Amino acid sequence: MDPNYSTIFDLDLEQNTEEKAKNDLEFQNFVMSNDENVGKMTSNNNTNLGNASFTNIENNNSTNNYSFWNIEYYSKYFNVDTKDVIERIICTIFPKESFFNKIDANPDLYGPVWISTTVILTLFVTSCIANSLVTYLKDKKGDAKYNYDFSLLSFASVTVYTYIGFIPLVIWFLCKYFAISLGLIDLYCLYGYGLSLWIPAAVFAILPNSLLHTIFVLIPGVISGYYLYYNIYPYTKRCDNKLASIIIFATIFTSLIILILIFKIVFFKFSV
Amino acid sequence: MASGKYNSLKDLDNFDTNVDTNMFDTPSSSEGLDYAININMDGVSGNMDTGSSNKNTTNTNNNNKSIQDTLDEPVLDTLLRDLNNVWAKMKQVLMPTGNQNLLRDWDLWGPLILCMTLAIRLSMSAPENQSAMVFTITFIIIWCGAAVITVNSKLLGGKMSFFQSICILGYCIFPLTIVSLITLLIDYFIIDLILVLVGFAWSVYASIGFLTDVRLSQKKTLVIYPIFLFYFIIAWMILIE
Repeated sequence: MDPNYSTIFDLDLEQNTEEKAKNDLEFQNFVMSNDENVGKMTSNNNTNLGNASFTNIENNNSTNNYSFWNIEYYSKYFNVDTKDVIERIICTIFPKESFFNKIDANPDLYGPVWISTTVILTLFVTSCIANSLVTYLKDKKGDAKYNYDFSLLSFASVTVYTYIGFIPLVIWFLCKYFAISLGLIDLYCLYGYGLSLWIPAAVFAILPNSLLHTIFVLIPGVISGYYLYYNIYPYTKRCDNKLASIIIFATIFTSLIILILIFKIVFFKFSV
Repeated sequence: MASGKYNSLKDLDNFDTNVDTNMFDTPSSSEGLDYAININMDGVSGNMDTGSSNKNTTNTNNNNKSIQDTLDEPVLDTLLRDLNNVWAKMKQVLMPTGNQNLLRDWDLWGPLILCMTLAIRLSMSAPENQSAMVFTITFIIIWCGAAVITVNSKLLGGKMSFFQSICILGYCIFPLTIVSLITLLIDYFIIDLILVLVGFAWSVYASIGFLTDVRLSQKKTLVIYPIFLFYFIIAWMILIE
């Protein structure tokens, strides 16, 4: 929707209500308080409130009235400070406190977007370094020319963005099916911050040793598995259907294991 | 360039009012009228020559040349004027401490030129079977990256217009483009590394100078971090060539 139109609409409305208010002021008898007048007053108040919140958006960028297709609609999911983001990341690396308690009904999409992008870039950069290091170590004379592989970048983007975009959606549908109250944005937030473990882990892909690779793929894998279980289990536990927990966690762990395997095979593969 | 048009329209507006007031001030003296028109014509032509920068307004003598309508001028002049604008903005990026108003008048020609140069440069030295992919990836990273960063800072509460932000991010690639062209000539990895680091720092510094919004003090890091990532990946692609 074009914002200009809504502005014009609201201005018109404001004029009308002002006129109405004038008329009401002139002809109304408030002491009598007959029902019709009360109804009018409340409706006027409502429209005025609507206008007030609209001007608030203009000033503070707090969003209530924007439609789903408008960019401003999403700014309520970016309502975080630097401090919040850092606290949330720490909460995922050391999962001692429930993540949903931590975010306190204010899930953000900043973390998921930029943490997944950082993971992609880190994986690409470290696998490039590892590849060139291995080429150098294998051939110390320096004859072999190292050729970087740009397809790793596109592959990393496809893998990580699919994982982060698709799996929370599937889990959300399952939750809907079993009538578990977990919001879609909450799940995106949970999964997105969960990926932050892979940023330090990806740095260890530089070490040219396959045993170390396995260790540094398994550690973040196990922690993020525990993190997802720890945060989602309290919700699935309440469901009467025992199948709910099984199906949801089967989905979560299968997708996580596939992600770990892809990381191990594609990015943690350069060893002497 | 929509904003360019807007500027000239505004100037015409000024021109009209100025003529009016001057005419009423000195209705009898034809000399005064002449003078007033000369001055105003200068204002207009100066703006036509250098876009929004009001530098070149001192050529009072050759009015006949600069009064000329832009409709009648040779195409070469038009192109050169735009190129001059682009070059002025690039210089602005190289010396980011100076006057920052030049980048308010956004255009996408400069970013396009820089992006094409960088993409061609990177695909030239790419391995044989990957050059097309390198070109595409460079292009996608620059334009989509700039768009995503802009949307991100808008969602965090920034007030800058969409295309202006893209224009600034695009122009701030300039230091990295220069570095990428220099590294074509130098074959030592350490020197390349230092040059790329300098170019990277320069780009980030310039773009932050232009894009920082004082109102976002609590979220400053959140706005800067994506910009840092953006130039980091471009710098990395230059380095691994």
